[in-house]
Amino acid sequence: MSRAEKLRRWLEKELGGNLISAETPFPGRLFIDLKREALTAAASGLMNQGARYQMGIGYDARKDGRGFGLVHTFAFDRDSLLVALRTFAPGDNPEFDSLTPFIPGAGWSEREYQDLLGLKFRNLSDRKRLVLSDDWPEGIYPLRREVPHDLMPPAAEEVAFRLEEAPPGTSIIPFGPFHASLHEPAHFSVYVDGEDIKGCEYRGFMTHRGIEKLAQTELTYNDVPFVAERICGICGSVHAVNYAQAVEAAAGISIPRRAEFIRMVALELERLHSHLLWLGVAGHLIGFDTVFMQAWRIREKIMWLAERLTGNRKTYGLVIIGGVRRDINRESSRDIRSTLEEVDREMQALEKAILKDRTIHRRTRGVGYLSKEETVKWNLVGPVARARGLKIDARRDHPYAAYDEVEFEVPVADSGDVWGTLVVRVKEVYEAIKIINQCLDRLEKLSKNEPLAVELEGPIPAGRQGLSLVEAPRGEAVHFVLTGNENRPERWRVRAPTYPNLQAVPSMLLNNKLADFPIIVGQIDPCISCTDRVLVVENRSGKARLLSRQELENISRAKRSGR
Amino acid sequence: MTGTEALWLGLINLLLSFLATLILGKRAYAIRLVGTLLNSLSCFFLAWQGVMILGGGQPVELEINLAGIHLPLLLDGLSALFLLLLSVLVLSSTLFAYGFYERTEARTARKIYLALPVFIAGLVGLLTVDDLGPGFFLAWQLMAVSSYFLVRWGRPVKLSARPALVYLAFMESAWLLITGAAFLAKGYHYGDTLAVIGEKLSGSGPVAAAIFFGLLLLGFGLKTGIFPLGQFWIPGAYSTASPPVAALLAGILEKTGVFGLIRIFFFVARGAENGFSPGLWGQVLLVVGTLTLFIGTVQAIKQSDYLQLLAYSSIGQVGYIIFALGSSLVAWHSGWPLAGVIFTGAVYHSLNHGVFKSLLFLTGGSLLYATGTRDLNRLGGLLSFMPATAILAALASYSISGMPASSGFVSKWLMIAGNFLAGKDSLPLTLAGIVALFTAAFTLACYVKFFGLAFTSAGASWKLKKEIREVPASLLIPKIFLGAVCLSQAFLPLAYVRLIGRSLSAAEGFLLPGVSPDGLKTNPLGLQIFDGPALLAAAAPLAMLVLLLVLTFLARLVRQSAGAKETVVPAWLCGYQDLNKNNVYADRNMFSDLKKFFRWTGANKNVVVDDEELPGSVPSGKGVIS
Amino acid sequence: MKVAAVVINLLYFLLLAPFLEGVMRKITARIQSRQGPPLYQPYLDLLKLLGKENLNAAGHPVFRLAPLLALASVLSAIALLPLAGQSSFLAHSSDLMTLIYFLTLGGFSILVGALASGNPFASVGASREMMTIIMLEPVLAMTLILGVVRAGSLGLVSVTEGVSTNRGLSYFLMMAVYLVALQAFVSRQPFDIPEAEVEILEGPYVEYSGPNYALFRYTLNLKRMFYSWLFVAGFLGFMLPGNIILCLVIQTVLILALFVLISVIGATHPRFRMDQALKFYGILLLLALLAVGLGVRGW
Repeated sequence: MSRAEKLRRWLEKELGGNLISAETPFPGRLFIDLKREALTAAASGLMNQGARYQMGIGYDARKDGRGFGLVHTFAFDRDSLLVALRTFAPGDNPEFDSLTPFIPGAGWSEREYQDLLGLKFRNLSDRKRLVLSDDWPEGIYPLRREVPHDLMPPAAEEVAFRLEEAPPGTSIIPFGPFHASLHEPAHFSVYVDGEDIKGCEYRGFMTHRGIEKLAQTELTYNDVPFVAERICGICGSVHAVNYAQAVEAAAGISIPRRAEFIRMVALELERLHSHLLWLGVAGHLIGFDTVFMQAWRIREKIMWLAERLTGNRKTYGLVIIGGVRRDINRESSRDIRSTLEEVDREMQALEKAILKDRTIHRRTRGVGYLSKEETVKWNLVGPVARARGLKIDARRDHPYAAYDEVEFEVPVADSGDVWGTLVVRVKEVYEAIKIINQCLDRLEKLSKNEPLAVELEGPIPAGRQGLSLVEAPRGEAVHFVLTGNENRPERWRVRAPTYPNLQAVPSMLLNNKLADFPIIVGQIDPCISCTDRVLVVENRSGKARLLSRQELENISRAKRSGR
Repeated sequence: MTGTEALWLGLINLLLSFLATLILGKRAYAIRLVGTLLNSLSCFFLAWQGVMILGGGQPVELEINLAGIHLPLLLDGLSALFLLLLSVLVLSSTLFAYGFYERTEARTARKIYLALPVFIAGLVGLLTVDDLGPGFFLAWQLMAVSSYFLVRWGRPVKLSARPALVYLAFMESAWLLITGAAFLAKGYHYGDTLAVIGEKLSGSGPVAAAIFFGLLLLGFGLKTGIFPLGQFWIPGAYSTASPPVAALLAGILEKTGVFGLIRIFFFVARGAENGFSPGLWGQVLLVVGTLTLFIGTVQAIKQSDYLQLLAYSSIGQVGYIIFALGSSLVAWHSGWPLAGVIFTGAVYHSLNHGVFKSLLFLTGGSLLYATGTRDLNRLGGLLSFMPATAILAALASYSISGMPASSGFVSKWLMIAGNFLAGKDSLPLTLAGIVALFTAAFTLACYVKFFGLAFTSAGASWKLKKEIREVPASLLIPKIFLGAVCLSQAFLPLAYVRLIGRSLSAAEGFLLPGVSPDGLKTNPLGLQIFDGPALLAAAAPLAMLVLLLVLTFLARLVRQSAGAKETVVPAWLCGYQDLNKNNVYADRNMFSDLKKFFRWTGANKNVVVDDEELPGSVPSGKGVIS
Repeated sequence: MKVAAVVINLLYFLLLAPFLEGVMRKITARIQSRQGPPLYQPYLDLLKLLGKENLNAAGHPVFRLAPLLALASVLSAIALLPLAGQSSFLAHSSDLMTLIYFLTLGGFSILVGALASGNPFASVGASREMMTIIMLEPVLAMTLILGVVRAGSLGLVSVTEGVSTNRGLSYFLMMAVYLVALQAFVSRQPFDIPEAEVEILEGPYVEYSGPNYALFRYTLNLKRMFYSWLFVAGFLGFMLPGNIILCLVIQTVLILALFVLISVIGATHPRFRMDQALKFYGILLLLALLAVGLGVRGW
């Protein structure tokens, strides 16, 4: 009996009448609807059976008369199963039980919907603002249906985020939003005793602009991949592919083999240059700029390669629902192979230099340590989790595209520190090269006449749920799509790997040295833009809006001419 | 008026001051006024006595018959020099006390004004008596008991009882050690003068002599605060006594211990030629001094209570003096002419330290007066509120750190340069010199922290609910006076070295004969050490100052070369937080890794208790310091 | 002549110091597979900074005074240096101790300026800078004391000559210690901890900009050159009495060579953490002490 079947039985027994439905519309997923009262029991039951919490999704379903929906998703990595628990609360009393008492990592998701939808959570200990900017007025919940996407409310006056006081015996060192070790805006209020870190408070989401809102009000299904790609400057394809997969799953579309392999090539190329980028940044963060420059020099070859393949260094614009837009022909294939050979060779030289450097050992071993238990507790993902002995990798555990047809290792380390993260990432570079080469082999064997994308047959039916995973360079990215009318998703939720990883950073920082702050935060390769889901920043005024192309051009021209 | 008459007049004045306080009862203002006047007047007489002796160049021996007990007194150059220091410090502290005790409740003020003249008289006695018997007993007990009460009344009893008792216990055991030691001399008669003791000692065998010197080192060492004995009482006593008293404790009480050590190891020792091994005792002093200076100073940087910081740093600075006395003995024993240079440095440093440490304690007193807290973590940015105090604190901090063109530089130069030159042939001297130089950097760290975090930086105005104002003139004038003395010590090294030379020539029985320091020649600008025709070393504070000023001017020209404008902006904290009381980098964070590295030196407990934090006490914001 | 020596020394250092930074940047760039800025770039940087606005974060004179005092004290130390084996006319009123204390004063001014700015990053930097001074100034001092022990004088000429008179065990040990410490003296990796850009944003200098910062930069350049000069003059002993031009040329070549070495080491090491560096410095201190001990024994 499969895990999904077992779970269904268990839920039926345990919840009785509180379970409304449990279905598996496509393999590897279990969508459960249950009554509000049973949420905690079901969630804790799943956790007790070894589930890994992923994210919460809140949405406004009042127009269907169902109030506010709240979905929590869980992964059973050994059984290739994702479980989504959906409950509803009436619009006039949108209160749910908080999962934080037994899943601390659910805190951000719940706070996010407290901000964006005005949901309320019983037993949520930290009720501070998470997503909305400091001067966003109280009582306006931007993700609710009635709030237009381009609302510009007057900024609340004389408000400031109330940062906690420093605990007795400590002082605060403010890191960010503009700090040399943070490449994107976020604020850490770090408590130090001397140079020992005794805790920290995080204030992020400074660049939240509501892409999700945009997708469900303005864009169409096929516009979204291009916006999704712009969620992140590094792993854009991850989000585009992930979104496309979620929609395809929900709509029951299966895409051509050729497209699957091409998507994989794009994803792995991104992993390559992302890891090289991280390696360089990590070197820079411990004061080793030569590593920075050399790693980025190697990375540059991949950027050029990407430009030759797609026309862009990043943001390839490759993915559409149902397939891809560009082919990889034999010539490109040769190009990729030769570039990868070079990268492989140079990477080996760099690896030797890095792994043998004793000072790097000193700066990374034992730094940013997090035990395996804590790692599980905070639901960490990606290289950060794998460096802490957790062998999870969405490519292996929940195969998508054609990952089940290629061979690769999932490198794991158990040192639990920055060093482990570094080793895992370095090894993954070689695995990525291996995967790309296998994809190219397969592509070369496939018929050239196979289409790159399938034509969609009619509109995508509304009300279906799609849940998709992609192993981004930083870890598992999750997309949830609830299909809607008007050729656009009813709800699209993006959870980037940094979202859970960042929540564990305070634990990693604890009792480390101030000097290690950059590398500890850096080890998760924080992608603030993925986490914040940004487009335009007007943090001070709290206004979220899109710039038109014309406006953008005007601004950049004004800058260039010194106005 | 002869020196002796002046001494009597000074003591009589102190007696009058005591009596006047007794009579005036509860009239606090009158007590302060009369006490200040009479105490200051006695300073004048005591200084006069010093000048007369130094000017006359002849030591005076006296014997007082007090109800059948004979008290021998010796007024020679050395005691005159220390009496001069005493009168300068007592004068400034007395003047400071006038303003400082204004806020103290009448009862406490009266008690303090009763104890002060007794304490001063005791100090004068210690610098003049010439025995280890009854005279010494009288002087020591006057000093010890009165200062016990001064410490005890410095803070609320809950905080002061213990340190005061510890202080008294240590003072009394020091007295026992010193008095007991004398009995080791063969045929010692209670009340013999020091010279006689020396002679008798020379016939009592090497073992007895060794124990004698050992006990006296312990006894006087206890009082100067050698490692590890000083750590037990000095931090407690100095930080508990109210700052004007602490200024006296650190400025002169400690120096009477140094005076005792000099008397024993450089005067009595000469008489005890057979029983005294200068090489051995020099090395003992050298080791003890080096340990003391290093550990005391390292402990000082760990303190957040600025009075504690000053107290620990006093231990360190006295360590320098003992270290120099030791190396001087070693150098003399090996026949190097530099012994005199190093010895001069030790005495010079005693004078310097007396002045700048007093100035620092008075600064501490001003901070306490103006802010009500002794916690460096809560201070910051006082420069804008109390600029005059800040400038004087900068001067004192600069001097004690031994920076170029300061008084501390001159005395440290004499001690350390002498050490290095003599150390050419002696590893211990070189190593001790290196430790001393190494420690100078710790001293700097200590005072950069003290000055930087109290006066520059930011914070006091947010962390204290009180309005901060510059202290009144009565608290400023004594500091300005000490500042002026401090500057004279920096820029007239020639005069001071001559003064020291003169004081030694006006003293009989000095161990290093003809020490008007051999090899140390002076030019109008500064000091030079010659070996025959060859110039070995030179230091000229004034020349250094001129050089610095010229080049600073040059730097200013460069800075202004493009006519840049200045704009005052808020400190930049990465764009989200503004500077507030939480994110000002507090004192306890400074040098954290270094503190850990030197954890083994002790004194790691860094707890600051302000009077106002005591339950039931009046908050200092209300203007009462009990 | 002796007065001229002071002026020549000052000019020599003032003119050459930024160039050496240019060399450092060029070599670092080459190791990092970059073109790097032109060699004269540091001069342009200084000029540019001088023309900018002075931002004062503290609003009081201590902040303003610090850069002046920093530059003046390093220049004072330079003014005392002998030229071509001849003592300067300041030799009669200065010696080794003066030199050491002038250098300490330079560090002191940076600290005071940093603390005055009130910025927590500057304070962290100041705290680290002070720890470095405490642990490393003695290494410099002991190098010179090795010379004192040999020469029996604190005069700068005798001391610098003294260091290399006896090339025994103590000489080589001290040379090794100095070379390692040099990396910290010139604040390059692995010991550029007080400035550590990614952690504390250039530490003590975070609030300094424009001309004030230019003075600090200049100070840093001069300090770097000074410590290299000391190595060349002390350990290599090229003083060539009499021939000023030749002496300056040889000095310059050797200092350049030393800068190449510094740059290579700097570009191939990550930064230590303060607690790690302190242990390292502790070992250096003990080795230097050992070297002096050996020196006194005549080895």
